[in-house]
Amino acid sequence: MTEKSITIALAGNPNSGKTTVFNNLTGARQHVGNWPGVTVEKKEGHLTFRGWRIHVVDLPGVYSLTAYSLDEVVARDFIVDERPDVVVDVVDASNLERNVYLTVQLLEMGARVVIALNMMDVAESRGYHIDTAELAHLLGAPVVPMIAARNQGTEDLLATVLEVAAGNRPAEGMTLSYGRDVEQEIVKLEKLLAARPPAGSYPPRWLAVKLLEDDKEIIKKVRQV
Amino acid sequence: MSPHEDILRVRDESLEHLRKVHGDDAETLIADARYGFISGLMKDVLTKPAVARVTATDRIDGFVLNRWLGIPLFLLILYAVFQFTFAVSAPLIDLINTGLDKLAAPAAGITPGWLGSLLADGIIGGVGAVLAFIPIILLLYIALSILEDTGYLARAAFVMDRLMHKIGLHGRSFVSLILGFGCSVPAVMSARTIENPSDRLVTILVTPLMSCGARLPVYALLAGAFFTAYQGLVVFAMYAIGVVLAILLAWLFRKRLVPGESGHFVMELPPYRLPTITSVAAHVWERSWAFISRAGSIIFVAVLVIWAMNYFGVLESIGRAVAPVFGPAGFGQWQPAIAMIFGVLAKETVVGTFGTLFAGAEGSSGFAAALSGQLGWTPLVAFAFMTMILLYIPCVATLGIIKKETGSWKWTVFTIAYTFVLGWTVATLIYQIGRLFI
Amino acid sequence: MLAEIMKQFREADEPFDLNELARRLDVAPGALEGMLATLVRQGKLREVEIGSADCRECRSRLSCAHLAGGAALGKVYELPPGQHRGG
Repeated sequence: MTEKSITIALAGNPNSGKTTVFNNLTGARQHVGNWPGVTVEKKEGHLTFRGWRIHVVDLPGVYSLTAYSLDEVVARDFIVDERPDVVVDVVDASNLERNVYLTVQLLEMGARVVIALNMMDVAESRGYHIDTAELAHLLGAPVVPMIAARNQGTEDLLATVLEVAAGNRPAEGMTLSYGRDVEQEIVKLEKLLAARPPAGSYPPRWLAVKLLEDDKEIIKKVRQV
Repeated sequence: MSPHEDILRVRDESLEHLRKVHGDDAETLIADARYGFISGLMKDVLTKPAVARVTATDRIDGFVLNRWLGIPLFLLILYAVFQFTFAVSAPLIDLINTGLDKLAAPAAGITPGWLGSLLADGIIGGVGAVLAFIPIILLLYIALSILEDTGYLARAAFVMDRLMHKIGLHGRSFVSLILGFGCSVPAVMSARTIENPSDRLVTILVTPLMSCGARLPVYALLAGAFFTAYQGLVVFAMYAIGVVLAILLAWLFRKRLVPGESGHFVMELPPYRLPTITSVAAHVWERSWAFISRAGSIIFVAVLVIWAMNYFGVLESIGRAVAPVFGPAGFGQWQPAIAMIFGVLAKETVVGTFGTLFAGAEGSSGFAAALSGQLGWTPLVAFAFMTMILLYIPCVATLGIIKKETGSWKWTVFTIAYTFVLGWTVATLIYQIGRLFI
Repeated sequence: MLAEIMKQFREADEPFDLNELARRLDVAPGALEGMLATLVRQGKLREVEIGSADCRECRSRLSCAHLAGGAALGKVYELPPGQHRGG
């Protein structure tokens, strides 16, 4: 993070309104390219907010971060390799249970997440009520309610992003327990990985979990060094 | 061993250990832990309304998917579709027929005589008779497209498949069969998605019993002639008979062929939505165009051949040779026999045949007069004949796709044989038993 | 959760629609879709591929209910061959 300039990544499920959020943030100041070496579209843009220049990278819409699909690998690699200052996770409030699956994986990666809780109007029309404070507390990440379709909440989102980027509002992340037996094995692997970490800055625990999940990409990385 | 192979070896041991203790791979355990966490999270942060606000889709599905209401509702909707189709199209068809008759009169007078006959009896009388039913085709496909686009058809297929499962028939057949209401060819092709070979084969074999769009002009002609007031009901009866027999035959075939279990499925039912004019128009256009181009090609050729053979006097003898087979069914005359033979090319040809052979018959009352006067047909005979058309040998396009999809001549020939026997048996039963009462 | 889904597939005596299954398991239908996708990826379930390459040649492409993005007939999940009850 150079002075007065940060990079944020936009993540989220397809159909979560991520594109609308991206457009609200960058307007005409966006361009489309390709992620290096693959035929996956990469959208980037920028804006200036309160004196900060914010570079926005739109990650492919994904439901999770496994190694099974190119979109997911692209999204995951960007977060790990490029280390954006903040990852904004656009969550469809009317489909919370499904969308949060991705959020959990982002947090496990140790990314600094800000949750853009979008489509609040749809959730409300269904009579849903979301305790955003409790959600933020349990996930360890700030939650910003939004209605991107009406460009509502964009300013709050940017303000929160700046706070997290500046380190004023820690995104603590969270650790999910996988049950005693699995945790035992995780600890074993964690120790070995911490001693001889593969290239890239992955949290050892995350690596251990990925290995147990038989993640092909991570296995490759572990073999490579 | 590099330290990293070391790590992987420890990992393998971990996986083995976890598999022993929990009986599943770590990947599943981990995913489950996430889902469990999220489930708990939802309970803490998300409140859904006490009375779950049901969406319109849920409300409608309350009826549509209901165990007791679902199927009657499907039948009711089918019936309504036919009533609507016939009510609206009848005047249009009459209009077209009147126009055709006006054309036929001067055409008949054209010299040389054979040309006049060809034009008046063959083309206008034969092909024209088929084209006169365009309004029905259009309306039927509009109705079908609407049923598809709203999402209702998915439900209909689902409740029918649920019924099939209850009687021991597994395999998502109806999701494929229901396409047969449009045309058998894509319906047979769609059976590719059925994994179990026995289920797939049985589905393919009974697809021809799902009354396709090409048979509709035949029903329209005969129902219009003999059952004017009850047209919609009679045509509905044809479709219903087809569906019932498809289920029965599927059950029978499944017992005869390699039984073997197949599992159940979970189907996502898309939410109901209003059909858009563009999508309905696209569907209707594609299907109607297929109808018109068939009329212009295979039916045209068939009618020409029929006309020629009739003009040169060879048709009747062929018809008479075959006709006695159908005596017990009530239509043992040479004209229907010829109609059925050529109907194997395309079902609409039956209309074309009658149109050519009874050229001069004007509209439905004209046909009624011609068929009852010249052939002695009663409404019962017409009904029996319609079931024959419903059930007997499918058209060559369908036979072709069956051969292609099953990869076997055996099953194609079997289809020809069983459908013919079935058609003949049912038509005969209807006629013979009906005669006792009427 | 995933094991419960598999249990439902193996022991069901009739097809379900997604919402019904979600109701039985007490999860949101959207979440269930995610779980089904996970199971499909693991090879424990099969998602029926509606609309294959062969559809390109089929003259009914435009009007086929199967194809409309699966929109008309929806997605279908089932057990892979060889894993059914009794077979």
